[in-house]
Amino acid sequence: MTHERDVERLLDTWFSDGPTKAPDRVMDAVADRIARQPQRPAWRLTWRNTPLNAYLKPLVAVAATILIAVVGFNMLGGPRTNSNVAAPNPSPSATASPTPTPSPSPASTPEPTSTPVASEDPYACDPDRTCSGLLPAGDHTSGSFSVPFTFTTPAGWVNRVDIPRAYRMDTDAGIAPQITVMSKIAIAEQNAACDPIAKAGAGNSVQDIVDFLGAHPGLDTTKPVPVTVGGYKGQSIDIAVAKTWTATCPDKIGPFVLLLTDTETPAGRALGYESFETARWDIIDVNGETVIIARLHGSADGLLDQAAAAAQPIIDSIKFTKTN
Amino acid sequence: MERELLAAAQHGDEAAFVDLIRVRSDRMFATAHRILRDFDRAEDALQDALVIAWRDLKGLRDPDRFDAWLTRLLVHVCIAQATRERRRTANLRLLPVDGPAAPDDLISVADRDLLDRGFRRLPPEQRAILVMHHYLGYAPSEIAETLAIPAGTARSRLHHAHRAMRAALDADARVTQRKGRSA
Repeated sequence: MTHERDVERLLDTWFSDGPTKAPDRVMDAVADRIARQPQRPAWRLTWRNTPLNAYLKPLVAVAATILIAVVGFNMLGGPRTNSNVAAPNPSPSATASPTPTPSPSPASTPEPTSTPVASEDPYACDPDRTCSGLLPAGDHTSGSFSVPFTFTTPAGWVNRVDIPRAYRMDTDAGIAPQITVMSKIAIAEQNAACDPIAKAGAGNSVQDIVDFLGAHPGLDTTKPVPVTVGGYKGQSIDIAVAKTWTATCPDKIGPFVLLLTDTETPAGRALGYESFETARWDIIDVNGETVIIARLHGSADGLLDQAAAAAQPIIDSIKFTKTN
Repeated sequence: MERELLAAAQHGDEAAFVDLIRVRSDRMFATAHRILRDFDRAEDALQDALVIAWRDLKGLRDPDRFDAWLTRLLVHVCIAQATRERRRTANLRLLPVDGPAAPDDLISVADRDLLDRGFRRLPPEQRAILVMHHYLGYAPSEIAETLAIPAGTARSRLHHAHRAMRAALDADARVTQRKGRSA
């Protein structure tokens, strides 16, 4: 049996060996290639990173169209006035319909945020989220999540997200998976930009979700089985990205299946999985609201059962406190 | 001086860019080699990453983030290349790696072989995270920052990568023991 510390020590030593000098020809080749490679203008590189929610995109598209029409009309000799029509500004908003490359090309790699590297905080919330951080062993209650619940954890679990549509926790201990409880469920439409766009006409009942997962060409799923969480009934299903799936997202390297968005306006969730991830979803009906408890195992190593079982006591302890 | 070189490079000065990356190329190559485990592919990845860096340099708004940005580009190029390679060789059997024996006696040749086999079986994302943590010395929060993934995800991937390496080492050790008994 190889212990964790042994592996870490072996890796430290192993990685310290190996070549440490780039061949001289690399710099010559790079110098030759960049002489033939023009630089992209800054505005083309920064607009990709500008947060622009799906709700605003149609408005921006309309504004851009009007701007282009006005400028074009003036350039083509339309009636001249003394008003100062703005010159076309090479800004992101002038691109009415950006189409991010769906390939895993590193060319779309955006600049890292300018936030300084944070000091190591093992209990930090996910970015722009509220959370409780480290959960002491014992009983807990969700805070902002829209379908309040109580649950019990052993020591070592950390709450990373507690917002109306999601409650997420994980631990570094053992094989236990990340647990995310989600409400305000809407099935997402796979799209090249991976924007949170609801699939037209799709329902969000337990059966709707199960049917969607089972029929999704990008997923390998197990046969759904009945499940009860906190006294509420539903279906449990295991999901993994199919080996034949090739669609991805601009910020992903490999295949990515976009599965869920939410019913908020504007929608903020664009949840999906990469090819090395597997998950078990318990999809339940809590007084008419569909709630998904997702156990995410960050590896396609065939150990989802073991990982899910490690978190089962927490799932079994969940009690929803919403009363309709 | 570095900032001046960077500013000049951002204004299209090729010589300034070459000066800027020359001092970084060894470390970048070493990183790529450890992720890809192949000299030629590491060289290709380094070239590609540097050309992309030149092309997109004007978009870098914070000069202090230049090194993190370069690392991110390189890691993404390596992951993309390893993913392509993984698909191409999906049905090939992994063979023991030929190469110079370890210059030290901290790890046995057999352990190196096990490590190499285990490492090559990992998904490219996990390989990259192991190299960033154990070779570049990044904490999980720095990995998250560099790769623009949530800190929890970085920690989780690192944890899974360690576990996968441990499992690979244990599995190979068992096979070796069985072979030894049956021989």
